[in-house]
Amino acid sequence: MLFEKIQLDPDEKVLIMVRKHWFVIMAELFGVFILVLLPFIALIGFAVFQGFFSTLNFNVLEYANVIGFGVAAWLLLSLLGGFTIWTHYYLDLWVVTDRRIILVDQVHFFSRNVSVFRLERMQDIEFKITGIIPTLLNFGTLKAQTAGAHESNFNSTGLPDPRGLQATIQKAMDRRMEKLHAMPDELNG
Amino acid sequence: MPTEPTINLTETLGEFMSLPDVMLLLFLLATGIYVIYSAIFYYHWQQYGVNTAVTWITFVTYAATTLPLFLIMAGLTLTF
Repeated sequence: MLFEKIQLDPDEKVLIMVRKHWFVIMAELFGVFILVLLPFIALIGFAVFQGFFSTLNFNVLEYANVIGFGVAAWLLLSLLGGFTIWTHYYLDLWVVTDRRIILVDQVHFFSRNVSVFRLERMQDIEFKITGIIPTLLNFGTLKAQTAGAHESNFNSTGLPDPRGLQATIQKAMDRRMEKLHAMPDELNG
Repeated sequence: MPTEPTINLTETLGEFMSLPDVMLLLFLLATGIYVIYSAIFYYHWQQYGVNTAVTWITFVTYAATTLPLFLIMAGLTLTF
């Protein structure tokens, strides 16, 4: 599993683990739900416009097997799409420990970014909640800058309670800085 | 008198392939996609999952929703 690969330090504590807000996955899964409904809407259409199809001498029952196969195949592909969305949601993760922030970004199946930001190198953390739904449901974007290269800055969208997450990171940063000032040897450890 | 238009899949496809052959081909294609996707899902859930219970529930849901559809497709292919 993931934590065996990340290899946290023996005394390192996980403070919070965050995935994207449920609305983000629900909005994506809604598209799959519409796709699942489509063949049934088409079948209802067949039933409603039966008269038209009978003028074409097209007997739906004669092709019941083909239609059944098509519907099953469509549903199977839609479900595979749904599970792909779920997989990306499930594997995208923010882990805040008392020493670092670990960002796991599952871009595609074969594209996975894992970034680690040490708390003592973090600088500004800002959150942004834009729009009616994000304001009502309390999710938004968290941006952070680290002391170092510009590429090491990060920006994550769709995070639940970004205000709370910002506060947690800020507190963890302060505690880490206090600890490092008290025991500067830890910086090298 | 104009003749009525007719739709007959068996005749239309018959010029290239029989309908059962087309269905078998589509089934094999769907099987390939299903097997590849299942392997990819299994690998990712197993390797990168964080919570064993959630991973297990995902496996069960995946099998419970997709396997019956796959079996229906297999059954319908065999009836041609």
